[in-house]
Amino acid sequence: MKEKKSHVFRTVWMALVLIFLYAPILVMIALSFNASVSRSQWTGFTLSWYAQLFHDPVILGALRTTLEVAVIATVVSTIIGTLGAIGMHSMNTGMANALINVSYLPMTTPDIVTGVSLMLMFIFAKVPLGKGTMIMAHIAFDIPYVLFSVMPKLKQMNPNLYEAALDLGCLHHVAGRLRHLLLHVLRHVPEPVPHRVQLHQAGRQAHDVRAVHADVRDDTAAAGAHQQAHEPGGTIGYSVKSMDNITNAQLYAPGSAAHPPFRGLHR
Amino acid sequence: MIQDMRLIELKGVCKQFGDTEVLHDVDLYIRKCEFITLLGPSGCGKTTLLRIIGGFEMPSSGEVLFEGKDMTGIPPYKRRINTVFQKYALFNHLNVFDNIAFGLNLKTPEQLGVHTKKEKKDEIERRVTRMLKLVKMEGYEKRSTNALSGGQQQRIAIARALVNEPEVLLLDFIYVTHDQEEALTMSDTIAVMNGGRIQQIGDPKGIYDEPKNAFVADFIGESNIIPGVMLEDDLVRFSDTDFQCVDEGFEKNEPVDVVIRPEDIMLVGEDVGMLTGVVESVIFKGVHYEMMIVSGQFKWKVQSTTMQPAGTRVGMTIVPYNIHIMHRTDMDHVPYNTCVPTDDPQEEAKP
Repeated sequence: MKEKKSHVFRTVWMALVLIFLYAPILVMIALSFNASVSRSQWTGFTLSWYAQLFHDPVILGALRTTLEVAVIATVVSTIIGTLGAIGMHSMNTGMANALINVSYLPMTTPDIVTGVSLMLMFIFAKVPLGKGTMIMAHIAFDIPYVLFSVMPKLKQMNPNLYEAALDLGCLHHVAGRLRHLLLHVLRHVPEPVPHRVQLHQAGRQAHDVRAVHADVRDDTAAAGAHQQAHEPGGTIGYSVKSMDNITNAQLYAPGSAAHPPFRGLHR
Repeated sequence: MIQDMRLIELKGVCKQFGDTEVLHDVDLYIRKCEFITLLGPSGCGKTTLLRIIGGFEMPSSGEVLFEGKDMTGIPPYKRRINTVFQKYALFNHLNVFDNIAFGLNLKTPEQLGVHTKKEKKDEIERRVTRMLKLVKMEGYEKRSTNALSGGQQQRIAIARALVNEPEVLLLDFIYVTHDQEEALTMSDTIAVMNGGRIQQIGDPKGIYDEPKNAFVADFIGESNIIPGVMLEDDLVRFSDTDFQCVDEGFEKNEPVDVVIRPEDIMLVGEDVGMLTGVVESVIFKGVHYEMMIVSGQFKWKVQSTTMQPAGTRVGMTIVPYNIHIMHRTDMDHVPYNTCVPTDDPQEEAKP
């Protein structure tokens, strides 16, 4: 009986959490079909906002940039992160722990701090701001997520696997070996859940992480939605961290024509 | 047939991990076509020794020779050796066919005796199919390795190693105590290891019949191990009784370990036995009965086709030929068949 009670409680709790997280998004989706400019009044169903959206060259350009940055950053950070994880896996514990702690930093630092710091660094190093710096920045703060997704899997991996590949002649084919190792590891990398949990322990809000994570995983739309979702007032373009978040925020607020204040920095 | 050529030779191989010495001064050679088995309790250094031969581990000192040439520092893929790992280590992002073809795919067409890429593909397919037939796994080409049972995975792992036609195949398998019979049956040579040292090396019969020390006697098969004193050549005293034996060359009154196999003790009438005792327990083991017999301060394990019920007083005789005398080893734990403490500790000590 007691067990049943706790089961009911858990279900209700889970439902509340999900509603809290997703209700704003659902409201936003519904409102995007609202004919009125006002958010507080429903005047009829319309698709015209979407029609406008896909005719606006600025927004389409932003969408393209978003996708480009997302895809390139995902691919590059996956490769670098996996290689890093493999390296750290075979290091002695002390050294590996030091690197792990450093890798936690970008995940625990507030986005705005990361963004401003990166911007200052690029300006200091006289790197022209643009798509290139955006991709670099994304790669930099995406790598830890890859690292912490891959490392647990490496720990579980049969250590003989690598040796079996060596045994069968894999060393003189570095490319082939890496391909197999990557495939093998990636096939078994768990869904984002584990590091979401890790991060939660590190004191961050779960949905915040998912927002960042989602934009890594080429689900840019979701990222924008989350950005809005966890920003109560629906503030647009508050973060320099990622251009694509800004543009996504725009995408999801069809009523707003305001251009984000930091846009100039990236163009 | 074993040929006299020494394919692999280890000379004074030592291996330390930090402060732990895993292998101590191991000398071993493997001849062409020889089936050699390393036996020993877990942690005795078997796997490390295999890994050194396979090239995954470097010896701390000593030499590893392949056909007389020094192999130290040569990576695994340049050794004509393939390993089947304890947990098989199949690549589960590849199907069965691609697992077996893994090594061949990395070779050039010339290494496979063909010229074009197309011919290489056909040649690989031919060899893999042959291997699958050999391990009786035809029709499994496209299966995922995750969908295989443990035994099937093992066979694929063997096929994956064999398809490269290595000179030496290393199999890192577990032999539990009841599998020893298999090791004794299949091997040309057995090396018994303990504590990073080879305790004894020889053919299975030699190891079983003439164990060099109490450890080997205890580890291979079952045995009664009793402390004794060598009174003179061919005469040993244990359990407060003098026995004729066939061992010579010991010091006068040298303390020794006496090993007697359970099947070598004959049960006779109480009045005619060399030793007398009381049957404590009887277990039916199929071919024979196994009885524990308490005699003086020792507990004897006796195997016989005739059963004596528990509580019976019996006599035991042992012919001189079946009494094996061994020098005392420096090992701290010789599992003597003493009655105190309560139960005989050797059952648990066996891995």
